[in-house]
Amino acid sequence: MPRLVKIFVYVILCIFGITSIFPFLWMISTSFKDTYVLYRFSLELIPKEPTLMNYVDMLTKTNFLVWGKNSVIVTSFTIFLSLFFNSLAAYAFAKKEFWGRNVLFIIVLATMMIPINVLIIPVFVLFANLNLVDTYLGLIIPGIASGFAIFLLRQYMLTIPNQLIDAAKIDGCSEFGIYYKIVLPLCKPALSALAILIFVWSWNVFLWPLILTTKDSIRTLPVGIAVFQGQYVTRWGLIMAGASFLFFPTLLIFLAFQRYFIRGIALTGLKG
Amino acid sequence: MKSANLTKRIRNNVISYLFILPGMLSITIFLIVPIFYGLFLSFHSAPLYTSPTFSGLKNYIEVLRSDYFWISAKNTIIYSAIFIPSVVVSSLLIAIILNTKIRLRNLFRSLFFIPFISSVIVISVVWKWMYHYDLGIVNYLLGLIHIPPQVWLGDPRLALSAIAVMTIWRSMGFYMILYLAGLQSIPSQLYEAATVDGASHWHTFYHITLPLLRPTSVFVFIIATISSFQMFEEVYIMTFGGPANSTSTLGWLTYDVGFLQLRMGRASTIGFILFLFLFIMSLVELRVFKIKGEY
Repeated sequence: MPRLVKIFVYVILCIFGITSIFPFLWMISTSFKDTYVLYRFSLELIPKEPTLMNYVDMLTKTNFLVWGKNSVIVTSFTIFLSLFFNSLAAYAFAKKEFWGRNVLFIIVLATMMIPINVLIIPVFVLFANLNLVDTYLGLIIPGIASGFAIFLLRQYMLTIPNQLIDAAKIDGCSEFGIYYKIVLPLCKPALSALAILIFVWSWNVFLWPLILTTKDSIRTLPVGIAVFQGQYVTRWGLIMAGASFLFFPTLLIFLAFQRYFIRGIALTGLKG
Repeated sequence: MKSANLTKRIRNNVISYLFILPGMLSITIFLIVPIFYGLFLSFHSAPLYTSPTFSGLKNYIEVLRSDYFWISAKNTIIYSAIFIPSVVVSSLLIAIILNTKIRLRNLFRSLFFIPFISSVIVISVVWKWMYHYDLGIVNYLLGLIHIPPQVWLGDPRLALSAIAVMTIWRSMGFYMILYLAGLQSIPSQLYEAATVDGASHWHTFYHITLPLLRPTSVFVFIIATISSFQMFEEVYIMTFGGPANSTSTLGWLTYDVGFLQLRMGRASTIGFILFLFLFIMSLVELRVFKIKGEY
C-alpha cells in the first residue's frame, strides 16, 4: 500500500474506533460526577471532583440489587436450560432416525423467521392465562425456545463421525450416555460460542421482561433501568451509574471470550 | 424376527422423541401456539381480561383506515431507508479495510464490536444524554463548528434520524463481522490472478469482491430489514413515540395499541400486517439479488 493510503486508512480506523467507545467513556465519566456539577455542561472526561454518590444512591435508594439478582437468576437458568434442551434436540435431529424428523426440523427452522411483533400480544395473553406473568419461569421460557440454537448445534453435530457413536453402542453405552459422554464433549466449541451469544441476548433482553412483569420486585435490570430513567429524569449521574452497572458484565464477558464471540457470529452468517 | 425389528424401531422412535421433547415443548409454547393464537385474536375484538368476541375482518379494516397506522408505516419505511444502506456501506467499508494486512487489526475489530454487545437500553440512555439540549455533548461539539444547538429528540423533523444515527453506530460492528467472514471465504488466487492481469483496485473490487460477496449481502440485507422493521426499544427509551408521532414505528405501534390501549385483537392485527410486509420485502430482496447475479 502506498504510504498516503495507509495513513488515510489508519485515520479512518481511529475515527471509527474512538466513536465506537466514546459514548461508553462518557457514560462512565458522568456516573462519577455530582448532581450539581451536571447542571452545567463541562467537557471533563475525568471528573475533577469524582464522587461515588451516584453508586451509593443506586444501591441504597433504588431496587437495583433486586433487579440485578433477578437478571442473574434468569440469565443463568436460560443459558443452562437452553444449552441442555437444545443440544438434546439437536442430537436427535443430527444422529437419529425417527418418524417426522424432516417435517419437525423444517418447523424448527421456520420458527426463526417469526418476527417478535407478531408474538408479543399472543404470548402475553397466553402467559397471562397460564399464570406465567411475574414468574421466573415466564421470563426464562422465551430464552430457551430457539430454532437457531437447535440448528447451530445440529450442524456442528453432523460433523461428528457415526463410527464413534456406533462404537459406544457396541461397548454397551446407554442412549443418554452416548449423548452425554461422547457427543457433548465433542461439541464444546459450538456450545461455548452459543453460551456466550445466549448470555448477551438474555442479559440484555428488554421487550419480554417489559411485558411479562408488572411488579417491581420481579423486574430484570434492563426493565428496571428503563422504568427508573423515566422517574428520575434529571438525575443523569444516577442513570449513567445504572447503565454502567448493566454494561460491565457484557463487556467483561466479551473481553474474556472474544474469540468464541466472533466465531459464534460467523457461524450465524453461514446459514445465509 | 419382523416384530422384534418393529419393537426396536418403535423403541428408537420413542427415545428420539424424548430427546427432542424439552426443546420442542419450549418452541411450541413460546413460538408455535402464539402464532396461531395471534391469528385467532386478529379476527376478534379482545380487550384485555375479557373473553374475545368474533369480529371478522373489522380489525384489519380499522387498522388500514387509521392514520396512526399509516404514519407508523411511513416512519418505519423512512427509518429503514436510512438505516439499511448506511449500515451496509459502512460495515462493508470497515470489513474491507480490516481484511488487509494492517497492524492492530484485532484491536480495531473488537472496538467496533463493543456497541453491539451492549444492551440497547444502555445505549439509548447514553445517547439520550448526549443528545440533551443544553447539557449534551452533541450540541457542544456542533457548537465548536458554529452549528446552532438542536432539540434532537424533541423536534419532529429530527427525532427519527437522530435515532437512526445511533442504531447505525450500534449495528455496524455486527454486520462488519458478517462481511469479514464473507471476505475471508474468497479464494486469494482470484486476487493474485487479477493482479497478474493488471486489474486496478476498483476493478478487482467491482468484478471479484462484490459478486463473490453476494450470499453474504443477501443475508445482511434480510437481517438488516428484519431488525429495522422491528425497532422498538430505542423509541421506548428516547421518545415514547413522540414528538407528534414522528418516531412511532410499527414496532412501537404494536406495543402502544396492545399494552397502553389494551386492545389485544387490534394489536395482533398490526403484528400480522407487519409480518406480511416483512415477508414480501424479504422475497423482493432475494429476487433483486438473483437478477443481479445473471450476467
